[in-house]
Amino acid sequence: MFSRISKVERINITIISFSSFFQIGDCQFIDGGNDVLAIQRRSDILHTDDKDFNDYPIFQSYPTFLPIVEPMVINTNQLQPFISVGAIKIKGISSSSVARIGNTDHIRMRNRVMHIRDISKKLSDVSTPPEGTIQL
Amino acid sequence: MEFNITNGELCVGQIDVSIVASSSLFLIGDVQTIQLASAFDTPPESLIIGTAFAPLTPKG
Repeated sequence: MFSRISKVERINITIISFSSFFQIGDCQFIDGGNDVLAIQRRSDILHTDDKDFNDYPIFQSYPTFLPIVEPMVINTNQLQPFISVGAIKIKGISSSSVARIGNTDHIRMRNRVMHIRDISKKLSDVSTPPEGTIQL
Repeated sequence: MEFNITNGELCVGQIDVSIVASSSLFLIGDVQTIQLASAFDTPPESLIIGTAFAPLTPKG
């Protein structure tokens, strides 16, 4: 397949963090994954007795990517050989994200996030919990 | 299925993105297939109030 050439005059990225990357050039396959278990605790004590990815069903079942087997005939007619962009400004690329300039054959990205907020009774008496809090 | 594409001129002046996060993708170029999946969970029971905090103990 004939692909176009990407032309970027100027790019400005401030932060790239947490297994993210910025890449210039062609590549064949990108397979990104990111699992986040965010436990917010109002406590002075460090806990190690809890919370593993396996404790939550969201992390147990992988979202299945179905194989792309559609019988398709794609005819691409490129009138211009270039994709031209003047200036790109990105503040942050984070958590296994990807910024790329160039052609790619296949891309597959996966992300799972689980949030837990653990507030102790004692401390929550002192300061009121946020609005909409369900007291169990 | 037959899919005919005619790509004309593509010229962009300026792109300003704040954040690309959580396995997202920012791409300039041609691509054949893209598959993205995301699961985000903050259920009501994720907010726990009044747990007796145990002291630091190693797991297992």
